[in-house]
Amino acid sequence: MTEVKGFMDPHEVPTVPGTEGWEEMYSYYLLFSKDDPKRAEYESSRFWFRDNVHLPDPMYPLDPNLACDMNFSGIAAIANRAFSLPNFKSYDPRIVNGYVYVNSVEPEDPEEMQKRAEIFEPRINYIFQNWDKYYAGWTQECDSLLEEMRQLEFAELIEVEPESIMPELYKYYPVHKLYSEYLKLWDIMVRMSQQTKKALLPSYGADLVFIENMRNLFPGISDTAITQIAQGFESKLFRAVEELQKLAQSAFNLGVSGAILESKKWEEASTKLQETDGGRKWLEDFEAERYPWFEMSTGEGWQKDCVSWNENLDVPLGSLKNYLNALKEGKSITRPKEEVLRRRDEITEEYRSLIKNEEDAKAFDSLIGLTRMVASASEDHSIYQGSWFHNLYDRKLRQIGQLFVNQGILTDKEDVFLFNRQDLDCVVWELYTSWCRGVEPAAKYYWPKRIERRKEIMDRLREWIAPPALGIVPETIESPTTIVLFGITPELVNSWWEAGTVSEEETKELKGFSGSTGIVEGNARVCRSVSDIGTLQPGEIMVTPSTAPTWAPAFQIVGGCVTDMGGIFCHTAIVAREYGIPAVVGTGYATARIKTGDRISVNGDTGVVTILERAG
Amino acid sequence: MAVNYIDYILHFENVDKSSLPLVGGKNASLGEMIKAGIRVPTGFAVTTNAYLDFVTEAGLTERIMEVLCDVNPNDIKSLDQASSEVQALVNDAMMNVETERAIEEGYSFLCDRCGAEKLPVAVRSSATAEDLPTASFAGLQDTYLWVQGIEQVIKNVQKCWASLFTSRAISYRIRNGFTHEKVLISVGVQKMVNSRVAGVMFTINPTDGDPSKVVIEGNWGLGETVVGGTVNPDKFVVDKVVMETNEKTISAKHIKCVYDPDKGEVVNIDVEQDMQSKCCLDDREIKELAKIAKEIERHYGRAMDIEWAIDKDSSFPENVFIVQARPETVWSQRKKESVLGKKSGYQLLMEQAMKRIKIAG
Repeated sequence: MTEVKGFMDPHEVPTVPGTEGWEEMYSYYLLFSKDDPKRAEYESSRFWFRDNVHLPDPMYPLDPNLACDMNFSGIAAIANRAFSLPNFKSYDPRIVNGYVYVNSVEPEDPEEMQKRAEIFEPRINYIFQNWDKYYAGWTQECDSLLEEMRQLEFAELIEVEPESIMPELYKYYPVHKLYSEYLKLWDIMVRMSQQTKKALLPSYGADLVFIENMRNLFPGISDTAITQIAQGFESKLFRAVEELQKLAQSAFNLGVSGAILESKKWEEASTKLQETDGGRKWLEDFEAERYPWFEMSTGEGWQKDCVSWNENLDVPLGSLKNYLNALKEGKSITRPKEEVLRRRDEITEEYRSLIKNEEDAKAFDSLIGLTRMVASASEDHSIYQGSWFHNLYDRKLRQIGQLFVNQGILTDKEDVFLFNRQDLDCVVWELYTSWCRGVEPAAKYYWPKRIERRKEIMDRLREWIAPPALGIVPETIESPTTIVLFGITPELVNSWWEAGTVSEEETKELKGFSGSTGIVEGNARVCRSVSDIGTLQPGEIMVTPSTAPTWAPAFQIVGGCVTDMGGIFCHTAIVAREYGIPAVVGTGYATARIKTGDRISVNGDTGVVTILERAG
Repeated sequence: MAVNYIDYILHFENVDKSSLPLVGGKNASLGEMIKAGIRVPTGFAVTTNAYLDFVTEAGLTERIMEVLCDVNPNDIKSLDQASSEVQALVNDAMMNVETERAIEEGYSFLCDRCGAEKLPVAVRSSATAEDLPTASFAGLQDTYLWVQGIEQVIKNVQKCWASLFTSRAISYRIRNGFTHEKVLISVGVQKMVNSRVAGVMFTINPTDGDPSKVVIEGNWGLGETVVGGTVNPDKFVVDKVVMETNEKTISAKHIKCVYDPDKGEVVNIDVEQDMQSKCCLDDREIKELAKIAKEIERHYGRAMDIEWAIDKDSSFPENVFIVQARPETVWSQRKKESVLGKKSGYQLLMEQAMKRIKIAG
């Protein structure tokens, strides 16, 4: 009998002590369950990987509504129902102990795949052949959705409607706006979730086929070499960072660096800046730039703790300080874009000149043309989705939360995220009915103690070290989106499986992908979220689940990076290369096995992290 | 005919590819590289004129042809017999005075330049038909290492001349249609690199013909163990476009070739225990070698097979030397087949869309 290699069965995951009853926090369809034998069999026989790239922390009850329901359905609607991708249908999510695990649902019957291929081919060709028009239209639609969302208003409930409604009472609905705005919120979100994927899928497809064929042409070519060739630089991501750098330079030139450097909080800095002409000028420039560029999320925006720069100006303040310090030392803070582009073109030309076969050279030209054409789509999708859409969504939810606070249902508007979607539907509905009637909503006494219990559970869940995978070990993984989006490859999965057989104390080495070349040794600092980056000391090595655009200031201080998740296009790899520091991504276990203060060596060439000496 | 003895030797600096008929492929190549700014150990070539005049004045030409026309190439005994006869003829003949004097002048010039009384040199054959890109005569004639003093130099030059007539060389020429008179020989006299580490490198991956790589092989001591294949060397595969080392294979290096002053010759000795599994090149040496390989390839406009050595007696990067470079002969002759299967960009895209996760069982 052959032994099937497997991770823990998803139904066997033990409950974390003190979190009994955690299941009721989440919608029933998100749980692993043995109720139905067919479903149980399906769950036990699949490969479930933890989504550490987008969702490193335990889920607030409302978070899966966005991250799982909206997001994965959005991907599926486009990939499965619009494009009929031959090798992929959707990602199917589950939550256990508060963490999200994902299984890839794919057509398995070759005939079905063939039928789908016949549908897919003309459709993807159409998109690539009409890309400019498609992309322009896409951007416009994104902006229009943002505007729709901005218009939503969850206003204070009023005692009596004003006299002015009487002439139009025949078509005016008192109190109704609360409910209709709420429904609109979800409607807009469903569309937004689909919208971003329309750019993402073509761009990932183009990138993946490019990578694969570069590896065929030049066996053993490194991931970093490939990304150096493929990368585009016109995206909004870089634009946002450029704006921040411009502001730093301008503060330096205006002589107001002091006001910024000496302040611990934004409020302080703002007050100091008001006191001088230069400072006031700078604040004017700042106001001009902050929308939309400072809608940057501090995380990927999937979880409610990822606020935008605009909502927490202390975050960009930190970046400004780093840039100003560099300027004081006479260093340049801008990534020299022209230089980077020139180098990119040089390298590309050199590889191309090595292709001696005519047909291969033509194929190379067409693939690189494609991948360059769609290059900014991937990063723009990230900005629209991660930063702008999600931040607006969060802000509207907080407005709802404020309403609940006003009605005595919650004590803190942040707690709105402790409702799951079904709970929220109920509470908003009850608020409507009870406000119409002039009675107290039952929610006022039903929810507070349940909210408190949920907070307790969340605290406990944060301490659990969630395994990187559950279920079976897959034989191969080739589907484009799983590899690029989540950074999962068979080698990585095998190394997780092997690491799982080694205890924490015995772990001497972790294997991942080469994210950025070079070798560095230093003290590790485990940063679970962006708020931890303030603790980083110069030259330390940052060990994190993954990173996101506003972790940029960290990259200027650290000597190297190690992440749990991520593939060759992940944020950490891209930015670490920009800053010229070694990075190993996708280790699976780094934040679990490495402790702050451990002395580690990071080899960005081989993708190996070695624990040289344990702290203390 | 009287020839000015200056034409008997030519210093490498004064040699380039047009000198091939006079100095042979190896030496012409060294001159080319010096012109291209590549670091090559200094030296000079004893020209084909010198060989020709020697063979003529010693009256050897007819006698050699006499022996060789009776040879049966398929009979080893016949080959060996002819070979030892001819080699004896060459070795025993007296070198003419002008040639001796030319070599003497060349050698003392080297000694002065390098500040050594009896400079150790490598005496290497360089036949004019040897390094043609379509045939590889490599290894058919001899090389003598760590030769010191003018008497030894002269003796070994003559031995190189004689090695034109080893059994292997005679048989190779017959089988490949090269006539004996047309193959002239030049001999290079080149300063020895006191190698800490040495080896070979190719400007394509010899395993699969991938043109984006430089593949370097190295071992402790002189490069002969790598060239001769007597040891499993360390291997480094470098992507020469982005200058990244993609692969590093450290082998157990048991033997190295070094000069033994007591024996007065080079010998193979055991490598110290702790050095056997130690990587023989550091990262900057690897990058420097890859950089030089790229320059050589660019200069020649084709894939190259290069011998290198890193000198113990000087410091990085001046201690990185190229000892030899010749055109690669295997992959450059093959037709450039499509790697991607003659598919267009869109075809490849569609193939990608068919790939998926496979669940075992």
